Amino acid sequence: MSTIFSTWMAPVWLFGVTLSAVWSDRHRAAVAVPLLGTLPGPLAGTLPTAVGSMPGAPMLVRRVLMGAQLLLPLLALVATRGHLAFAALATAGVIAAGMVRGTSRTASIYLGASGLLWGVAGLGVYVSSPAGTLAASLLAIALHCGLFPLHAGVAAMSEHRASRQLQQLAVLPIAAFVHMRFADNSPLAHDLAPALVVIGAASTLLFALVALSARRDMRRLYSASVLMHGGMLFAAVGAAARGHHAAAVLVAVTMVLALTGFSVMVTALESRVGYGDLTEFAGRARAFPRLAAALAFFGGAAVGLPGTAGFVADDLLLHALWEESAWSAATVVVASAVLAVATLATFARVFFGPPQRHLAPDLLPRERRVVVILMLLLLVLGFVPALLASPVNALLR
Amino acid sequence: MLAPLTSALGIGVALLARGNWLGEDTVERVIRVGLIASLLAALAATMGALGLLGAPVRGEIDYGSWLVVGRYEIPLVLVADPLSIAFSVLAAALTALVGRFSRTYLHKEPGFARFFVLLGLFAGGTQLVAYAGALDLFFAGWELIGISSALFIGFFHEREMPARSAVRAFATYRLCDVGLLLGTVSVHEWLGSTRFSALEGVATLSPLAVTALGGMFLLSAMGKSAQLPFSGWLPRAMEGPTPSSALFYGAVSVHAGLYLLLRVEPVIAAAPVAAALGGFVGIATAIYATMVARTHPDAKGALAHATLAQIGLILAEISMGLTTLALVHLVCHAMLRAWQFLRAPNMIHDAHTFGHHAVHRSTDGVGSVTLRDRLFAVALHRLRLDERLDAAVDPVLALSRGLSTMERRVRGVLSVRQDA
Repeated sequence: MSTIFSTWMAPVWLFGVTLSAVWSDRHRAAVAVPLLGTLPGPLAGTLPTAVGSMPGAPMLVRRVLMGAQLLLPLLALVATRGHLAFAALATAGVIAAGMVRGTSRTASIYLGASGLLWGVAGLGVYVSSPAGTLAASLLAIALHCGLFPLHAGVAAMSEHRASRQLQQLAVLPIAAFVHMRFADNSPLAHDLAPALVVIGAASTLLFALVALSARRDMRRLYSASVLMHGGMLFAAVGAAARGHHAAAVLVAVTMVLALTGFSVMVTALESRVGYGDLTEFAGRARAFPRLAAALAFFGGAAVGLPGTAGFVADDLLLHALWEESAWSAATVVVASAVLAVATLATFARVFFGPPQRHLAPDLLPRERRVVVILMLLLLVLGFVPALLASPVNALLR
Repeated sequence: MLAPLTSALGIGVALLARGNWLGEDTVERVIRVGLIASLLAALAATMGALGLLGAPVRGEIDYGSWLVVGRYEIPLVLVADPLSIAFSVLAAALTALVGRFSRTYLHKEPGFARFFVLLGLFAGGTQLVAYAGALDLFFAGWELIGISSALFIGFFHEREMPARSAVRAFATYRLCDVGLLLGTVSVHEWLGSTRFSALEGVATLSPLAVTALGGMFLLSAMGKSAQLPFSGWLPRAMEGPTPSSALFYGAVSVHAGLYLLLRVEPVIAAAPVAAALGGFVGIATAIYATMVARTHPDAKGALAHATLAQIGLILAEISMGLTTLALVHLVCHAMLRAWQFLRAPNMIHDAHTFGHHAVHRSTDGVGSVTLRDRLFAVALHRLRLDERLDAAVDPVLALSRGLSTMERRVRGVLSVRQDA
């Protein structure tokens, strides 16, 4: 996994930045610069692993699918027509469904369903049916981000290795962006905003409380974190109908970067010590100090650590939610605090306690490179959030 | 504020990226440069505000915006006034002092580099809190203080008790921070800006809104400054190394809550209910902590409660509008406690070597024997605060377990059989 990441991240990052720079020269709105630069990394990291999940398929087919899964979301991002953007998302969704089929049929069904719903949304744009487009796109996002009770697919994926989850995570910001660009500008979306915000906030609190009961299981905590952030994203997408686009995009991108880092670290830990329910303090900090530090950083970024993109994203989201429903904003604040406590409690249980000896090494150089790249992205967006927020807002407004 | 933050981040990233650990000298030197730069900057700001470097520079200093989205802005604004300068110089000087002390104290300690990285983060956080001219910036510094504080408590993570204490302290911080975060959003929505200067317009709000705002800020201050009923984490925080105890729980961090209340003084002045509540909490904490300090069996624990007692009094002063007195009290108290905490390990040594024994005032002569015994028992058990808080949290944990079970069942129903 780590090799794959370090092999793919840098070239794809450069590819994304170059492509976006070219694109933005031709378009006054420079929205794609940060988005394109940020998103392909996590996405690309999943592809070679996805190939491994299809042992029966010829290598050429697998390579074509890999490329398609990378390029289709990017096409959705730069498409200027709604039906094309949704069609690209739909195709990516269906390919992703096929790729995870061998791992989890539930996840495959949910991903496939969201792909089909994006197809319906594209059809809605084509036949000029704003209500149909909105409903289909919202439902697809709900399935894709794991809104309660439609979370079975995301939950199933997050209980497997990181690569499965990353396929789902990497598409989310683009899906949110396409939704805001082509489905979210009708009066109905405007009217629905408060209800969507309340639903998203309720789901956020529910999964934050679930995370609190997962203190002895890092994988379960990760799963609950993903679902909790999914609720936040859904609330943000709801509020975006009233102009809070930047909040939604920042929440989505933070979710991808922080939870990708979290996921990679959880996988790295499991590959060293196995998977288990911790009844006692496991004392792994002495054996894996860098892994512990990286995991603490990504866990912190996911709950709004100052200096990271998570802090600005949470701040923007709260202001956006407050304008729709003060109670929802309060709910999300409490949920974020609960998740932070659950994260530290689980972290302490895994890494603190009487030191245990392990033969496995701490983070390998290639893993450290991945960690540093993700950290830098989170820090850059934390200190200069305008890189992403301002152009997105300018374009979507 | 950027110097210590940058040095801490630099060391942190280098530790992660490099194959080998950095040496003690390198780590300490880099962080020391950050801390000294921070102190020099604080002194320069003081001279600037006093007009010693030309025309006096006071009030808000705008550096543009951190982020502008639509009509929402996170202003990058600092404030230079007697309050910010006093707190900044105090924090920078004590942090640099503790940094120097720790170099020797923690020599060859396994967590040496970790300690100094956290110290750099903390120094950046306190300077941000001191100079922040807007609530968003203030909250960023506030969170850095909270996180570094929790990690300092869990510094000796090989033992279970520090790990548990760190989680408890962090939980108290984070849940009380809900007040500050909601207060920040409310101020923006109700007053149009999160700048502290916007709080001057608080009189235009309804009494209910002002009371709610005051209550939110008070809640955060109570958590950070360990006021009743959130005092239980402070004695547990003594599990950390002595230098961090001096800096956090004697000098700077524990006073940050009071600094917040001094910053939002217009809100507290306009919210008599919140002010009265603050006064009551402060005095109750002072009484409680005084009693406990007299029965506490260890030096650092007794010092922690003595600190709490004074903080309670400062809170009462702020609530009564005596802000200048409160600021003087805060600065003097922080310096005294820093010295006492740093001296604490030597007290035992002195007692054995020189025959110096601390004089404990007892409860002899306070009321009847029965009353005295009862007071002693109450103080010894610290009002059973932790048990009571745990009992209050139990229903939440039960709800969490119930929701988890429910979520699994829903998932089972909506999954195909092989994944259910």
